[in-house]
Amino acid sequence: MARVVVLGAGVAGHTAAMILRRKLSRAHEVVVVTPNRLWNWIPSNIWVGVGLRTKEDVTFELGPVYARAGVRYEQAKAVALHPAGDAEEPKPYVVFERTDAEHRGEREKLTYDYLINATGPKLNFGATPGLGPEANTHSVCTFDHAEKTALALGEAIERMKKGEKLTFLIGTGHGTCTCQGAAFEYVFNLEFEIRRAGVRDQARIIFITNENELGDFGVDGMQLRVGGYVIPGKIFAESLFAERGVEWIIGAHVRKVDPGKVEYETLDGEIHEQEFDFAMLLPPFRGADLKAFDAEGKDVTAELFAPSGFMKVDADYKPKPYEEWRAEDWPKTYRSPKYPNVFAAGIAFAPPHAISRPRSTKNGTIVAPAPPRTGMPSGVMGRTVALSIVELIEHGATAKVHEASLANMGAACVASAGASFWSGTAASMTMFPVVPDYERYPQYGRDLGHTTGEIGSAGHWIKEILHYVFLYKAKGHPGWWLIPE
Amino acid sequence: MTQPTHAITRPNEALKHAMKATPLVLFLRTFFLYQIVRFVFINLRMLTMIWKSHG
Repeated sequence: MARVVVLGAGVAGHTAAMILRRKLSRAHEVVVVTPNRLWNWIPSNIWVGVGLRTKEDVTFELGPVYARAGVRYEQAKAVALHPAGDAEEPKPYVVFERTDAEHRGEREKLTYDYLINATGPKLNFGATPGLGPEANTHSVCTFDHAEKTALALGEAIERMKKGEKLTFLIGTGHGTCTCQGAAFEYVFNLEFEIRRAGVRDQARIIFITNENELGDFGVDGMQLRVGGYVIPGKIFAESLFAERGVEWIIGAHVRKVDPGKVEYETLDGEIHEQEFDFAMLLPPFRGADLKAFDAEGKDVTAELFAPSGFMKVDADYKPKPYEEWRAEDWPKTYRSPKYPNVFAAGIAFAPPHAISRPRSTKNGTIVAPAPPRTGMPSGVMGRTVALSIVELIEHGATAKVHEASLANMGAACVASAGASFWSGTAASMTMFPVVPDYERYPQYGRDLGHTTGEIGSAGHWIKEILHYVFLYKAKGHPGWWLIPE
Repeated sequence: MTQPTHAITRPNEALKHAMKATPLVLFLRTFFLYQIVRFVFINLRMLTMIWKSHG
């Protein structure tokens, strides 16, 4: 009998756990350790943040789903890894701390044969003084944050209806943020709702981002074939902002947020201030800050994890200049080189480097969008890692493991720009591969036949359908496994 | 690290330089019949991408 422990139940972890349970016989045990009681379809948090969806619409209880599927579920937060066991316990194990109300704070050991680290991001609001819902800005990173943000937006709209003019600041709250797509979606949904409320003239909306240009999205932007030309995605992104009257600030590192005011540094090294009445700024991400110890109890965290807290896997982490970055630097199996029974999937793995060219300001402040690893790629990684573990359990340590490099994987993304059946729109984008490969595609790094983007109501309909389809899949309803990640 | 070649440091600076969609393009974005056709095409495109990425 083998025990597979999955840390985290986001897109990657939940996908991995469900596939493992489906593929492995009941003689083997699948355990999910996650601090959360609820599963959250995070892409729809954007709509919660503008008051169009509720927490109940985007979440469900994990316990009953795992009970039905035959997955053991521990509501707890992993705090330490002992991948070589120790003097008392020869098997590798993980230490977790319970987070349910009844047993909060209690620590336990759980041995494993295989481990998937899918702990996702830690929202690092602390990186920027004054950032976050506990301080001076809003967030849509969790359903709780998004619900509070929607309430604040509702109040702002009421103030504008009474004649006040307000400034809205939306974007990234640090120079190293990722997930610019979420900020892009939120600013357009907010603008759409303000327009729908009939108070657009009362609102000044500003987008602030660490991207070097709009449409970069942390993937070095996209080139699109349009009308016989190959055009940078930036041109289209800028046109979408301009036609909505949304102003933008690019290449910005937010230094601090005071009540009603941000201080930010731009690539030219200048320090600026921007006042606001309402701000939704995304935080940078960190890894879950797990500690790792060897059999003698020595702290080996630095061997397993990058300084960012993300887990090192089969990538080339040798520091090198941007010009020498190669597609093959990126991991294929997501397996720890030090402990082959440990994998990391989704946001939890440490990228070898950024995808967008990193920049620094004249003062040396780094402004470098981190590479996105969410959504479809995250699900594909979870699936790949699960299938590899099934092979290893069924055919032994020499079995061939599965591969899914971001340099050989595409992504399909639908970014909402306003939610309404008739007048709502969304940008539907595909790209292949996610990490540009200038050896296979020398001119643009990507296959332009599969790198596309367009905006329209069709995108919004797809986004609506995906909301229901992915919740259905995540709930493990009949035929869930037929739905791709 | 590379130094910037240009910087937009204040909001509103670049707004006036952006490409603008024509009224026809704006109309087609929410014109039901046209979007039904695009819906089919986008789904096919995404299915191709999903197929390619699930190796």
